[in-house]
Amino acid sequence: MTFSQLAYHNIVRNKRMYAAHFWSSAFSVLMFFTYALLLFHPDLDSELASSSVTMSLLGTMGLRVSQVLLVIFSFFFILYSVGSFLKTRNKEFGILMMHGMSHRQFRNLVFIENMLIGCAASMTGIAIGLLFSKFILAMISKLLAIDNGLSFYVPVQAVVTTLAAFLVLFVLISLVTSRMVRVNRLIDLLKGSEKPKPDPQASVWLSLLAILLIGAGYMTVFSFATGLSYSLIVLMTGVVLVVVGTYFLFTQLSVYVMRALKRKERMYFKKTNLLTISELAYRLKDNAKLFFIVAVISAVAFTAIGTCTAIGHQGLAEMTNPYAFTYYSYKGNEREAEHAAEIKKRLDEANVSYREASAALKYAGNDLTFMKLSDYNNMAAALGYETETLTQDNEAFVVPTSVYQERIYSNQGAVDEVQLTEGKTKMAFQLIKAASHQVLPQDYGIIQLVVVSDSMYDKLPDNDREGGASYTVHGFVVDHWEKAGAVTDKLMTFFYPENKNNYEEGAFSFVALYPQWVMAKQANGLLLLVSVLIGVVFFTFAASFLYFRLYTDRERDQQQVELLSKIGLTRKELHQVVTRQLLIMFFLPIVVAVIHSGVAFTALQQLVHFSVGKSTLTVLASFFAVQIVYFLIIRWRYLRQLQKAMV
Amino acid sequence: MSMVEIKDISKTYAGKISYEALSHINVSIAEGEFVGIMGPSGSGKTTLMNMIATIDAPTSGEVLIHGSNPFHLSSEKLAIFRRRELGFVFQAFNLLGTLTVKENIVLPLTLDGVSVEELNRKVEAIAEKLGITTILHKRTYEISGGQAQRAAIARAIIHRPKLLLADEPTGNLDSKASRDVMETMSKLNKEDGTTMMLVTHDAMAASYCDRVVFIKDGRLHHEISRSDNQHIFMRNIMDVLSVLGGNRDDLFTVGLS
Ligand SMILES: Nc1ncnc2c1ncn2[C@@H]1O[C@H](COP(=O)(O)OP(=O)(O)OP(=O)(O)O)[C@@H](O)[C@H]1O
Ligand SMILES: [Mg+2]
Repeated sequence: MTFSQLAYHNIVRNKRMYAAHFWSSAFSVLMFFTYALLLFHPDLDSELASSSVTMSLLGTMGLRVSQVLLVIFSFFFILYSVGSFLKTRNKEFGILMMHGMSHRQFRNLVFIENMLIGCAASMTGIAIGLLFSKFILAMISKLLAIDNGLSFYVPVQAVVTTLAAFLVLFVLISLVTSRMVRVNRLIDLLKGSEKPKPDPQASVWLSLLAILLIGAGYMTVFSFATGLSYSLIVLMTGVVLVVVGTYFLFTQLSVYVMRALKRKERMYFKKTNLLTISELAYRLKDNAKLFFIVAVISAVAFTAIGTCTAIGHQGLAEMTNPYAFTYYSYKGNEREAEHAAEIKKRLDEANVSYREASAALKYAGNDLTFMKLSDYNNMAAALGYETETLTQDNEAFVVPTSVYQERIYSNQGAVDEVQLTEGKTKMAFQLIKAASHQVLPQDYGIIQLVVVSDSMYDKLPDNDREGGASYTVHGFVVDHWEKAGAVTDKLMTFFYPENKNNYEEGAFSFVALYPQWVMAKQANGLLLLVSVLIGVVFFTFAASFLYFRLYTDRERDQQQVELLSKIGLTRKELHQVVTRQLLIMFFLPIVVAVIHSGVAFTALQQLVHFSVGKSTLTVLASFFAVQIVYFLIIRWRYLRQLQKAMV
Repeated sequence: MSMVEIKDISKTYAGKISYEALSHINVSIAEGEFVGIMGPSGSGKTTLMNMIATIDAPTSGEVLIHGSNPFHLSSEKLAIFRRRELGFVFQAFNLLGTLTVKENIVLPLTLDGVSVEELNRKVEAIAEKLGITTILHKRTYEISGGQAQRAAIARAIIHRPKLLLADEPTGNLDSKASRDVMETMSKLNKEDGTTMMLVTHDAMAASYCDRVVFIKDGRLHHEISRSDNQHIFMRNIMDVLSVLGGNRDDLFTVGLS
């Protein structure tokens, strides 16, 4: 046996102990590789760029940033888990040193072991990535709405980058960890792992403090959101309160609850409760810090991901341009009729059925923009809304021009009257109602859109200038516009032959819904891809760490199970005890995180006028699904180990 | 010059109730000497061995080996000292679970970078002597307590140390195997001139020593040297033990052998 064989045997013969560590490392390599696969894809740039320059920038930036995040993340998690591996092996190191292993040899041993695992994990991660790269690319091009799909390619660059990044990472980890075991006296190492665990203790006051801090934190966040105190310091205070409270929740309150349950004898001595609770008290105390970290990071992640997806979604949800194609004509545009005809011709050629309507807008001053009743009715008809009538000349109604306005109008109605006092003109209109739908593409430039009778419209002054504009809108409603990608392309090149992404200032502008929709979908997809993959890696590490903790306790557990089975614990009861314990270990931190982020969302909801709930639910559900899978796998393995000890 | 010089060492275990496990012990062991240490359970024998084996440091006093304090060596030199000159048999065997019996035995040689051929040759020889040839390729959880003990002894002597410290190496063995182990050790002592310290509860095993030191409650109690006859020596040891007290197990073992 040579020295490196010693290291090799340590790992191979302890493979169950290293399994979770190995697979989670391999998994994070796989995720990194997936990003690299995308980042270096020869077509990705052009495919994304075809929709927009910013999108391709967002794409590459997003992927790069997540790669960096992923590596930093993996570094700390692997460091943490290797560190605790080493601690459980104190006795082994003590024996080796007793037989003359020098510090240098010890560092070499740890280094070699880590590098072996690191290399194996990197290779495995990349191999799996290569094997499934075709599938991965197909999935991603669907997620990112890339029409032509991403073709398969030989990702030499991706492989090299991934290998290089993780080799560096594992070398660093090996260097750091090999210096982590401090050897003052051998006796400390030799006795190291034998220390009996003290009965878990918790203080009533600190447990109460946990509840108080979290409560106070929630209140503070709400007072920020409801505008009682509008300062970032208040928000930060709230967050800090909750974080500290969460710390005590896991280190004190959870243990305290277990102790309190123990005192309830009628409950405690009922069947397997005794086992479940007394074991849980230890496990909660042992893993309190891990649970704390998982809960806080998950809460932050849920909130961040939810907010991101909501914003990404906003493009889609609020993109309330009802027209597949919109043509704006400003003052001095001589080709309006020609262009309108051209659009119709092209649409006809492409066999796309459409309904067209146009409206002239007149800015009259006092933040008021006017539209003719007949134009409004044309547009409403094209969009399939009800038409309106005005019985008197001084009657008018308002039309929302943004989702925000739509909500305000429907909540509080419009003001009774609008007055126009511009120069010599003094006019007043009685507002009879507010239209329930927008008929124009969302336009924040219009402060209030008022529809008046055709005859009054002509009498209105035109004050086209800064702060308001008069122009004509041609809207084309197409029922299945998401399939009109080809004709959209042709029209874009017709109007903007030089650069179809450049909506330059001019006498007219042409907007198509299709590219905007693709862009929103891609932005959303990228954000989701980036955040969910990182989130999944985080959960993998956390789960593997729990597994490792269970595994290091296995001898004690097995002895206990052997003893219990001798005095008549059935298999079913064992299942029950283990399932309950693991359920709490796996889901308590996440439930706490969900509650925290739930509070954050309700607070956030007060600040913004779009719904953040729906997109978040999807994200939360997918994380829960991942966690359930890990729960099942680890429960299965752990039970198998314990059942071996049953007699 | 003496090989081991124990100079006025005391050891107090700190804790809620601090406990003085050793108190002002002075022992000197000459080069090539074979010294037995006996005493009731809990009297501080393992503690004393740990001090000599550089596993633990005394609270006061010092242990000199070859006239110098090993704790003053650089960590690299201390490692080399442990690897080449020191052999230690733990009371609890302390075999490594991830290794086979053979791999456990060759550990000191592996750490010293000895060639595989030489290493194999030495393992064969020593396994033969201790009767564990058949279990060399088993893992440690597949062997009996006595076999594990012999493997631990093999590991402590394979590199022919200058100083061998053995904490109850025959505790789990039957009298035949005990005798074999003691013969092997005695031979090593005679042929190689290895200095040895042996902790034991067994008067038969102790009778192989040149001298037996008795401790009780952490203090030196008595010391007897061997005359020519091993049998007479054994009688003497048993006499002291009966005066010393100790638990029934000790007397029982003595009675058997
Ligand atoms: N780490 C420790 N902390 C506190 N007390 C200790 C520690 N190790 C040993 N002791 C105490 O020191 C005393 C001597 O212990 P030691 O292990 O040296 O006894 P021993 O003579 O080897 O006994 P045995 O024959 O049973 O092996 C005992 O009373 C023991 O309780
Ligand atoms: Mg002892």
